[in-house]
Amino acid sequence: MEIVSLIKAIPAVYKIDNKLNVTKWKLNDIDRNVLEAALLLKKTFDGNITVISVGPEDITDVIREALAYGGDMAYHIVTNEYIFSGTVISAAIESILREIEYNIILSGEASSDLYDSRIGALVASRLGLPFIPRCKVLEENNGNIICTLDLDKEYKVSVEYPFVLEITREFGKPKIVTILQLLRASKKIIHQVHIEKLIGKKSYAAPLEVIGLDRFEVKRERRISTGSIEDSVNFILDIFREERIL
Amino acid sequence: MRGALFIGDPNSIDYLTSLLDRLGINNNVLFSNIEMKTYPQTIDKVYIIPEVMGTATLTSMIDILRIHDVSIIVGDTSSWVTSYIPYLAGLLSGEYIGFIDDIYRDEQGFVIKKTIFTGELIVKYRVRETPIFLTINPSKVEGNLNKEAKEAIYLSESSPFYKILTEKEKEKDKIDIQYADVIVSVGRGFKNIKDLELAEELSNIVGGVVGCSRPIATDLKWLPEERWIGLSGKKVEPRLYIAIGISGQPQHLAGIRRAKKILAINIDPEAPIFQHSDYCVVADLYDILPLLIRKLKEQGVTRS
Repeated sequence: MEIVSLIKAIPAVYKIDNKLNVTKWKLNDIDRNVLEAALLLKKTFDGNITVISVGPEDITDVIREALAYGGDMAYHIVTNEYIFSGTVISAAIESILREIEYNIILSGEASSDLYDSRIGALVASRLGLPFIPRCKVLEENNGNIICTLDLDKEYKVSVEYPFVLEITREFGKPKIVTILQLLRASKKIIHQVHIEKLIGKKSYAAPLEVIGLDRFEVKRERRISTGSIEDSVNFILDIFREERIL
Repeated sequence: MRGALFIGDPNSIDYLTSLLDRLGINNNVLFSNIEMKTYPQTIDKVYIIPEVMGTATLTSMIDILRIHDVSIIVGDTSSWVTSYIPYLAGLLSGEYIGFIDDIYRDEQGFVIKKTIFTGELIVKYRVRETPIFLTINPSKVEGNLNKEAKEAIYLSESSPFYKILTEKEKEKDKIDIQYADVIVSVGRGFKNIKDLELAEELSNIVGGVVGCSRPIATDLKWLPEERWIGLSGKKVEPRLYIAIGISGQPQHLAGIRRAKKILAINIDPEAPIFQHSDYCVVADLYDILPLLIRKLKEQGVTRS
């Protein structure tokens, strides 16, 4: 089985001076669950995992981490800067997927940077594939894939591939990657291709323009009580009075 | 200009209608999974669709959006709606932005505001081309909209994306945490489900409602998902948010950034929640809550 894991490198350290300048990247939390799901499928159906990620040159370490989880090879779609547009990201991923073999494409329920919750559905629709949302459990039954979906109700469903499967945060507990796995991952192949080569310069200039980017800061008082239990309870009672809760 | 509303929760309809009204968009199309008795007057056509996506429904929806020349599609954040909308966006090559905070129009077109980076940044987008696909977490609407009965057209699905083998109802409750004035919120610091009674009791006394962090609702299932506050749960704006035994992961903080005041009680002085609180109590909740409840009762403060 050919499994594709869509993973995202998200900003870990960044500055804002008119635009976003990211100095350090990290793997999006939920994408660890995506990689766990990919590993489960790989073990169950004897397959290969291809990792695809979109971002600037310096997200390579994040892609290596994804490979250390059990990915076999990766495609890094290189961008000049951080991309906000889901249209652009999904178009670039689509062009890679049109060139490679796949049975199941896995994506996370959301990334904690933009939190649009979109890439799986956007990629599925561009490829004309079924989209299976919010899977929290994956099982095999007589060669069939059974997914438990966490929607308004909890559904157990069977699906025939190819399809795009969205994985939730509740999907198992991701394992910790060892140094040995990271070392092995350094030998795995990462194909790099610039986004403009995939979708053209014109499409890269997205229909979505960022016209403002500011810190959202709420000044908090940070009054601290570290005294006795009695003191702390009186502190809370004073707050309740101050805030007219009582 | 015409719009489309996409409703998973019938309570969202007034908010989404008012939002499109404010943008000067009417004669709107409505997609929903539930037929209602009456609809806002600005809704022109009503379509009832299945929750499970499939080729037939999506094809019909694309035709409807094209026939009505819909420029903006806005949905609530129900889990199945947030799957449909980006899928439609992909089919129509429109830009999709999920979980937005606000949208308005200026002389150059639509401007969309959204909190990103787990609530650390606010971004403003201008979208150059339509159709635009959006989801938004509804807020309270003041006043009543004029409503009337309308005929609903049902779209059926012959080739769904997946075959349902079993389905299980989730526990639902009627408490609307989103509009609560005071929220007593519980996290992993609580050791047993029974201990949540302490939070319930405090909440009753201070006239609040009990909320929770994600693990309490999704992993432990001690409270219904409607009580889960955070990035992918409810975003709340209470007058006072009391976080008890909540460490303050970025995903949780994203749901409480607009709280007027935050009081945190946590045994760990290094808990991130304290960096984002107005009032910080470094103590064991099991010491604080029983004494606090007793003192409130002694002072004659009871509402339950």
